[in-house]
Amino acid sequence: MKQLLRVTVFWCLLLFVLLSGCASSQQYVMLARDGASYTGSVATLADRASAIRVESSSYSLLQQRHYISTKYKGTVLKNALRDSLRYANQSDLEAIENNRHIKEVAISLQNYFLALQELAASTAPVDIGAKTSEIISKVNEAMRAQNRTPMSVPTSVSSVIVTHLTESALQKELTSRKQSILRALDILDGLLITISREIDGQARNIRNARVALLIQPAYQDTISVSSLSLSDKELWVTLRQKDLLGSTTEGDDKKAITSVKTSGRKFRELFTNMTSK
Amino acid sequence: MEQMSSVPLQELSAFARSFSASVLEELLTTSSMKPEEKTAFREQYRDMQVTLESVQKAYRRYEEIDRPLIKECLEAYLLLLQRGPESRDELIQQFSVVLDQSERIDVLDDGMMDLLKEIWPEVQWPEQLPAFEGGELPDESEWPKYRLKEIFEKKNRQAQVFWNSSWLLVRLDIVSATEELKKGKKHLESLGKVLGYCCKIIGLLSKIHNVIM
Repeated sequence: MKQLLRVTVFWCLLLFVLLSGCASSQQYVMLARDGASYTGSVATLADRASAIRVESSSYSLLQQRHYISTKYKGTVLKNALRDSLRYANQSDLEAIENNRHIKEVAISLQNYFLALQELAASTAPVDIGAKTSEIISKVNEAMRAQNRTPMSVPTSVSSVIVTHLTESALQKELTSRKQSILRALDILDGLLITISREIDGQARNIRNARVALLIQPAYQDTISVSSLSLSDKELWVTLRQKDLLGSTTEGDDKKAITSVKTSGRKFRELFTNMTSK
Repeated sequence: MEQMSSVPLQELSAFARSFSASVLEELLTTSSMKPEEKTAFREQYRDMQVTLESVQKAYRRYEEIDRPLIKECLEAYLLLLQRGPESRDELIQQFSVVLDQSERIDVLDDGMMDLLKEIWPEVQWPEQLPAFEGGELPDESEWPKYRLKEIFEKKNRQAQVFWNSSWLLVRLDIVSATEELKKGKKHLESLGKVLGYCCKIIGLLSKIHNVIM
């Protein structure tokens, strides 16, 4: 009777560990995936910040060229134009370099979360692939070496042991690195603020530049209006449309920034919850 | 979200509080350092505390005195930019004040940097401003239209450099060292390393706050 009770309790406990293990494994996978997704989005935004920066400064250069050409003539004009282009290039390259660094920070954090995701996913009870088998055999080997007795557990029990062991390892990993990861997230937040601000400011400049340099002068130029080709007119209509409706890319950028900020906040909450248990 | 500009200073201050002069002396007594090394360590420690105190003072001054003035100036100018030709003269006159106040913005002050981000793209295209409609545009001497853009880009870049380099490299070490101190695990060698890092960051912050040592 006692023996029967022991066996029942043992299998009930195993079932409990298995069920709670399933949910936990999924949580770790989700956490790691969210972390990798957030950091990956920051890296993408860093690239976008460089592109929009060059587009904006190109408009500023066109504005400067107009101003300089009304002020100087001959060689002085050429030198002034060359200098303004050189200055803009230098400034843009510095900004691009900074954005590359931001991308590196984001990518290195992403690599950490990807590794975590892989580890968490490989131990999910539903995953009975080669990877799991390899882990099981390694655990068995380790246990044999430690106990000097061979393991004789059925396959279903083996996967529970692996899940349980790895979940505890994942929990330990995250808890021990909690402060480091939170600090790294602070840094990433700081960097995200600077790139989103850069994108927003330069996008405003591009919008104003389009009106001032392209839309308004072309419309006010009544003398050459009859000589405008069909494609010129179509281009003008497209530009005006972009100005009034907001360009698709500008809308996409705003959405991307909002989405990254939201996912960063959610990830931080989830991470804090999972590491404070 | 917490104002990011205060986070580095808060953590540096926490480290400095934990690493008191008595803790330093206690550690030096049991250390195997040579006398000249101990002297150098004490000197570096003193420099860090003195500079940190100056940065803290400068930051307090910025928060209590400079920031409210900058905020008032930029917010008022943002409204002025939307007004018509009747505000032409005021817009030009106030522009130099806006330039002065913008120069004072702490690069890690997100609120003020965001205000600046809204103003510079408007200033760069005066022909689009309602105040100059139908009238003559101000010349470069009274309306240096790229100046505000340059200030914004320079400051935003400085903020990125701060997060990218110094802070990224040292922050984790500082936090773990602070924790070690709180738990009473004091290792002079590792603290020496952190002390060096702190000096670098405080140096960077002192530049941001224009502290003259």
